[in-house]
Amino acid sequence: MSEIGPRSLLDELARCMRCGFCQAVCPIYREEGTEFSVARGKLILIEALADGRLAPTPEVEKAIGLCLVCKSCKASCPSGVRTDLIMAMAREMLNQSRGRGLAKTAILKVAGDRRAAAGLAGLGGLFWRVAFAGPPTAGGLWRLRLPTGHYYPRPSGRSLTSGLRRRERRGVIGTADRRTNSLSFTPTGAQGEVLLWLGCLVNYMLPSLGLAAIDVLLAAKIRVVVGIDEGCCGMPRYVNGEISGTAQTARRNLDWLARVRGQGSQVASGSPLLFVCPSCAEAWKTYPELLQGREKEAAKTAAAAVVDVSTFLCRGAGDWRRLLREPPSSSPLTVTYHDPCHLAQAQGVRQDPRTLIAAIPGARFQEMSEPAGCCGSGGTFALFNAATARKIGQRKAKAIIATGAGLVATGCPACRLQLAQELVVAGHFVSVRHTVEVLAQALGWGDR
Amino acid sequence: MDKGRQVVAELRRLCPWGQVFSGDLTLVYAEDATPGLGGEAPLAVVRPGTREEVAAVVGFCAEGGFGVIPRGAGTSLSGGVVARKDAVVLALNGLSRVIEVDEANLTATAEPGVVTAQLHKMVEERGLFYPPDPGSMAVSTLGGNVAEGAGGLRGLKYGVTRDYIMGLEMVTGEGRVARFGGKTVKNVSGYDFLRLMVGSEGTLGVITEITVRLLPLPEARRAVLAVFETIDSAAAAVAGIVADKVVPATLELLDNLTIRAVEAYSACGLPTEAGAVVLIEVDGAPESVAREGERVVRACRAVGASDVRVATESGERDKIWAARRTAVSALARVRPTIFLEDATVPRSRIPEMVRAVERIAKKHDLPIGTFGHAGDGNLHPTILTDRRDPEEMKRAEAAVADIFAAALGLGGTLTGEHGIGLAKRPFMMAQFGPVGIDLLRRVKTALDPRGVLNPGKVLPPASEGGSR
Repeated sequence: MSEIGPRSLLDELARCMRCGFCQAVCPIYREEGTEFSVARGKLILIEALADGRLAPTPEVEKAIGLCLVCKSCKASCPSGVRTDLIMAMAREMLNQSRGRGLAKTAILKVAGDRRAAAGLAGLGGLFWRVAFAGPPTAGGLWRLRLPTGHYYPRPSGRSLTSGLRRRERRGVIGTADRRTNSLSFTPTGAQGEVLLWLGCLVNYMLPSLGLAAIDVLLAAKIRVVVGIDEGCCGMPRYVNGEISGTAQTARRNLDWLARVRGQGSQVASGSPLLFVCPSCAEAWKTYPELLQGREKEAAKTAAAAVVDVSTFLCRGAGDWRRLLREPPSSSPLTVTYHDPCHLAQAQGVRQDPRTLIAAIPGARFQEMSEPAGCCGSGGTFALFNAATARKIGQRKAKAIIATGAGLVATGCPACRLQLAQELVVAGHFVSVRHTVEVLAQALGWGDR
Repeated sequence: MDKGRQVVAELRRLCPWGQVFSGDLTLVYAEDATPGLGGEAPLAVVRPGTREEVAAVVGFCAEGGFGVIPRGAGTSLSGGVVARKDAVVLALNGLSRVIEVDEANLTATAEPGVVTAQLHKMVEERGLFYPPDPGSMAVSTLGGNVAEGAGGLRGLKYGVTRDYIMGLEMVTGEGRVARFGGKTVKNVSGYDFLRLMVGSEGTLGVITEITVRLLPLPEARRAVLAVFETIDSAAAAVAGIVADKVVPATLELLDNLTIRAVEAYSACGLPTEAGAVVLIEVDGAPESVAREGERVVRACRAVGASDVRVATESGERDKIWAARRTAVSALARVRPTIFLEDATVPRSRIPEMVRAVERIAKKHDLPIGTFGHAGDGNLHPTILTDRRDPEEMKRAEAAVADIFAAALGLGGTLTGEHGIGLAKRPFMMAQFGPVGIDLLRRVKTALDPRGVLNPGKVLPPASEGGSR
């Protein structure tokens, strides 16, 4: 269990002075209003569990599980309580004493194993009609055959990257490198290079988002290198308390990075590690906490290279923005933006996506009320706490609808799925796209 | 155990619109933001969905002899809502409707669970102003503010919660409903119950509706940050500003320890090398704000401020005040357990109080950060310790006793705005004497004959004397 153990759990817990300021930002407290739904109350429960005053009953476990790990409380905590870390450690403690239950075990198994993930995606592609009910909604979502009312895009059956070999994007052919298990797209006159981490949601559920990211980067004359079936970042395992399992994932990913950047490869050691999924980015940033010695140093170097795609596009040369075209429709396109918790709260990226959207000619930007309010997705949270997630999601859907926007952009694939679903439930069609998809679309308008 | 289950079943029956919790989860309602008081998990937690349910629950508890602990956001700094195992916690944050904002009468009427900052936002959108702004206003509830007699940063010019309460509906200790006051500016019918209820800390009644007085929103504001090499010269600046007949809305002092803690959290540009800073805000009509701003700057320079900055942009100003509001919690970065006191002295004695606190810190070998509402004499000496070190906790308690003695010796009071709760109860006799305590007890008995409302708070135990 390395340096994270019961002793340090109590140390982390001691930082909380019980001021209760987390009530102001917790999306769950806002809906539930109970003291055990907010960080302060959960920390009291966790402390009592850790020092043996409380037994891990299902009731207590459920209360501790009712957390989106959105990190809003951490971001606004004046005392510096690291709730995300505490939550991971507490769930590890609970896993050890009670086990995880079948559904979570299965999800974490898939998340921890690249072949299992590819296998499940394949099965999903074959048997999706069993799991989903039609007809599809206006946005092309299918209803999951569960009473929870979840809507998802139709699974494609295979990962984005496995289908991308020798394919052409914006006139550039992708070349695979078996040794490093990666694909690269090198535009003529490349002015920079990035390693693009796609993440499982993009790889298996939202391939168009990944393609959009590649297209925009190529338009900006950036060489793009992606891993083939890169595997999981570790975030699902981490938030569910599989801390030592996450360390294994971290090692595997750092090994891959070392190979891609190693001798004989054509990837510069200083090129940024780019993310379209802020939760994956956050996972990479926790690697240094999980490892020791040389591995820790490597993890720190990798964490320092982590950049969100919107920040990278904003900071770099802006010539490519001249290629953005006005939307073809006669009526003006109104766009609003939802701040993902793991991008805005955790990484402080708020302005960059807005700046990019504002660069699209003819697009009118309309801020929604509380743009940084959580969407209620929280990874697997929405699956296991459907009722609370729905309340949070519907509040968000209302805020989006109130702007009158025809398109809502966001910087996170999980938020993108959740927002699309909540808008379907709210009975109001608004397109939901990742920031890079909006940009790719605006570049495409010029082509036609 | 069976009896406990019966009680819960009956509470559920009485609260069809609310929620009732029992068992392990009630532990989270044992404590508030006060350290070292060791609360217990209550018998049950009730979150009533209607006011009628509040009266029903209090009536049921009075009959059965269970204590009732009314609770808002649980941010009390005196142990006001610390629970015990034979009592029911009445969590009122679900009653959170603003019933009316009356622009003709300049009043707002709200349920007790409305969050203070949300009321601010709502009335300010209409060009109105509810001045009381306790440090925890982002989460604290209006009901909690009234029960604790909360103050805030704007106390110097605008007064405190007490000065804005025009009407109350309350449930007595027997579960009966009474209303006092209303929307009239003048009202001398009967005894002044409103003043009695404000600061009663849930021991005299459960507040279920509040009508507050509103003001027009000041047209202009200007914030000034003055930097001093020593806390003594900062205290002199505070005295100098008031002596110059300027009454700023806020006049806050932060010592070096507090500056560093706040800056570590907020990075809002406070000078971490300074001995102390004074934060001042003047508000009102634009002409008078400009004039008073000048005079404040001059007064600070006159006592040797090393730097005086005027915040021109509202974003910059908001950032400074938001940072100031986190001072308590930010100090918890230095050491995790915080004894935040609010012993208050007449404002002319502030420099003496500052020196007394420095002496006490040395005597007990403890870091004490001092910040607070210097302009109204309400400083917050804050002892930084660690609850895991029992020996240090003992020293901290001794230091707290010394701070109280110093404040009372300077003609002050135990608490300016946080209340007595559990934490300051042992010092009540020193402030009131046997006759005063006897009168307080008689009031309590009249309103709560069975002694079920927030039992064990405010009044000292009978063993300390003062009874009839």
